Amino acid sequence: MIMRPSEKKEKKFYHMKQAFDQKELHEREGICTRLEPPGCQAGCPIHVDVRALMEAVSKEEYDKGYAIIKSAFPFVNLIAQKCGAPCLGGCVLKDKGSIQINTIEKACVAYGRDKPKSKFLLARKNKKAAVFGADLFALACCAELGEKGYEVHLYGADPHHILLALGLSEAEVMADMAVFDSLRVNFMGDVPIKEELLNQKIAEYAAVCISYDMCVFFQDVELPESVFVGKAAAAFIDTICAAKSLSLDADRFMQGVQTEQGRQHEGAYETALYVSPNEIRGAKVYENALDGVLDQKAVIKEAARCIQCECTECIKGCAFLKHYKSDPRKTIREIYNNASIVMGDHHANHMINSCSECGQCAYTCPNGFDLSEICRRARQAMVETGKMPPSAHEFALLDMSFSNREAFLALPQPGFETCKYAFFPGCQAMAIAPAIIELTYRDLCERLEGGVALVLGCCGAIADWAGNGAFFDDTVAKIVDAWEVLKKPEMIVSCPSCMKVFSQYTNIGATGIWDVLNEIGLPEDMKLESGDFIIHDSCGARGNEKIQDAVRQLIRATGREVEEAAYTRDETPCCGYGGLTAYANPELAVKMSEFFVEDTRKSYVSYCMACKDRFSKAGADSMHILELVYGRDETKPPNLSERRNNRLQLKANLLKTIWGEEVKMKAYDFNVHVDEALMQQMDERMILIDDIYQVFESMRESGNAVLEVETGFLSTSARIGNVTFWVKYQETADGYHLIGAYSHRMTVEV
Amino acid sequence: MEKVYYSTDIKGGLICRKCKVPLEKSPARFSYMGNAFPVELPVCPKCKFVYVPEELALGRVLSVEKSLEDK
Repeated sequence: MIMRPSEKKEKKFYHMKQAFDQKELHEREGICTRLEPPGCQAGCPIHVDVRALMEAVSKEEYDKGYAIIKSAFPFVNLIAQKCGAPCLGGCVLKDKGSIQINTIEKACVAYGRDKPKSKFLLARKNKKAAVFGADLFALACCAELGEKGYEVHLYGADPHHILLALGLSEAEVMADMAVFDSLRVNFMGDVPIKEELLNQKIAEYAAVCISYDMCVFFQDVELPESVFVGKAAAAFIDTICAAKSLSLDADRFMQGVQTEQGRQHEGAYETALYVSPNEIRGAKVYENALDGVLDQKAVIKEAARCIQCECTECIKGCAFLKHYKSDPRKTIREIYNNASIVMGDHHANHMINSCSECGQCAYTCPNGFDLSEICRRARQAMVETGKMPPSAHEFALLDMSFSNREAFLALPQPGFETCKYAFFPGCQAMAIAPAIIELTYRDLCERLEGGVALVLGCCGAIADWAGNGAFFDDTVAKIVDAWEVLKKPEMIVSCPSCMKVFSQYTNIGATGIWDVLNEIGLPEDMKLESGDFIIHDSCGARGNEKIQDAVRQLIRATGREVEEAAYTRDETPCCGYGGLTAYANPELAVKMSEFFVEDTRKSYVSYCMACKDRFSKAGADSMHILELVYGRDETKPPNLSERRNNRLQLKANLLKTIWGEEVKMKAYDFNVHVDEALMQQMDERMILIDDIYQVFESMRESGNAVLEVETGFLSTSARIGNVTFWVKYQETADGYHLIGAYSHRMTVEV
Repeated sequence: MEKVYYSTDIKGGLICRKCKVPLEKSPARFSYMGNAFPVELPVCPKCKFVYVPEELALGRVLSVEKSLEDK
């Protein structure tokens, strides 16, 4: 039994908050049309599942094909012989020759076997219905009502004769007549056309369906509401459709339910399903002479030509949706359900925190379904209700605090009381390529008139991704304060995400470094170099063609050629850092990086330093646009500890060399030795070298350590914030040699 | 009797370096997000320093933390 700590025996309150209500859920679900039928099925008045039929036949599964046709209408021979195939008009391969669906249906009849339904599996209703008519319409009504479980009495003509009259051979009639073996349909003789007899008969049945051809007999008769009269239909398949519709009217009437609901797609209609032109382009042209010839090989080949229309536009470019084998429609429902849970497990938390919130889906979806916005709002609701798992984003948020505390700086250029400009490189650039940032800042100071202040810090995007509105507001307020103290200079940013935050949430506004360099030109001493680079557009620049064009212009100005990826500009996928996926789901973040830099023989260029870093880690030759201008940063992608140290070093170097201020870096009076493999493991466990130093510092004060007799290793721990860090080590004359490091968030007490 | 969620074997011996005495299997309690779990862990009988082995921290402790975070 789980018990609560005695000192915290307070009443638990369950906070719930939906990020969106049910109405919005349905509206948003409606944006995704991937569940719409393909054109062939929508174009068929009785909606035969042509896509499944083609798949079955392409696998030589004729029995399955037969069953698929039968599920739409039981007289399969009749359909195969008589249908005018309006489905062909809905096939997206019209220009290459529509799939010969009607011939394939014939093949199903020729080669497939019927598997009759067991009588015991059929529904059985107590009410009786009657059908008046001697035609296809009457026959179809009998089958429909019979399959719905009613006992049906047919007045007009024997079904056998109706089928013969429709032109089927005796053998085909016999095959289709087998439908009635499992149904309670009886032929009762002639239609009672005399009014007196009619009223008497009507009174015997819960509902009566009358074929259109019989209408003339009842023109002057006032019919009760239990009588349903068919409408005229010109085409064979439309007659069946009309009979199905009328039977449904009668069925709903007999059940006493609403007759009109959910029937907007009766008959043929135009589907909203989107099919990519690429899929159509890739399809084969019709080349078989299938007409009338049921050669099995040719039939299978033709069925296999079907491209199995479906819309996966958002999934194809998104590693997140692929990883979860999901789609936006399914995901938004899971998110809604997740927030509805009061006391159970919130199984979708991890999924919600794994989306990169990059916004790609809003552009790849033909209807603009924006799942990233939903995930962002879901995270905000989770934070507001205390349902956000503390471990998901804490490391990233602490890192952001570090950028805006220890590594923060906001100073005007020496010699200028107020500066016309301020350079804001952003937290990732400071962490990943401090040397490039230093070169950039020095160049800007030299070539821009009016002075360039420097602001080192994080714009707050990290907190925004984490759904932490309060933290985001505080962070933005801090940057705005610093900007105001600097007398509101024009802010030059090197990261499109910072630009987005400043433009959308503040009155700072921002100019991209790409625009500045395009305007002032490249540094004089820069050597032009050649080479092809696949460009990766940053998620912060999505929907902003101006930035995308400016970056391409800058790359070309450095002598390089720009190559566009399969997913480029607004449709570019995330590098894996966006939305803090790299922290909440590191394995998925790796998949995201690898998805874009699939071909590691090529060179890639980005204009967000986090993207450059992720692609380098994925093994690609990856550069940031500033490296094209100021020279390649030859250092390895930094680990988590080095990222923090880089920020501190950048601040200290610049303070010393530009402002002449000495900064005392925090130093410990002991050494810790960590090998490279262990450093990597610490990175995976999100343990910083500074955490390790703090544990040793604590141990040196308390003396607490445990000796493992067998190995001679010592272990000690310290609680830092919400985490207990453990180190296993050996003590030597030159310091502590780390053997292992791990952590847990639970507290432990005796 | 209260259920114990985890108990450890002190293989080969663990010694508290500060107190110079062997750690003993003793009752302890893990707590997280308002829930607590009684366990048995190696504890120094003198200074009460509790040792959490790596396989426990990265095994059951981690999985319980994740489950509680999703409650």
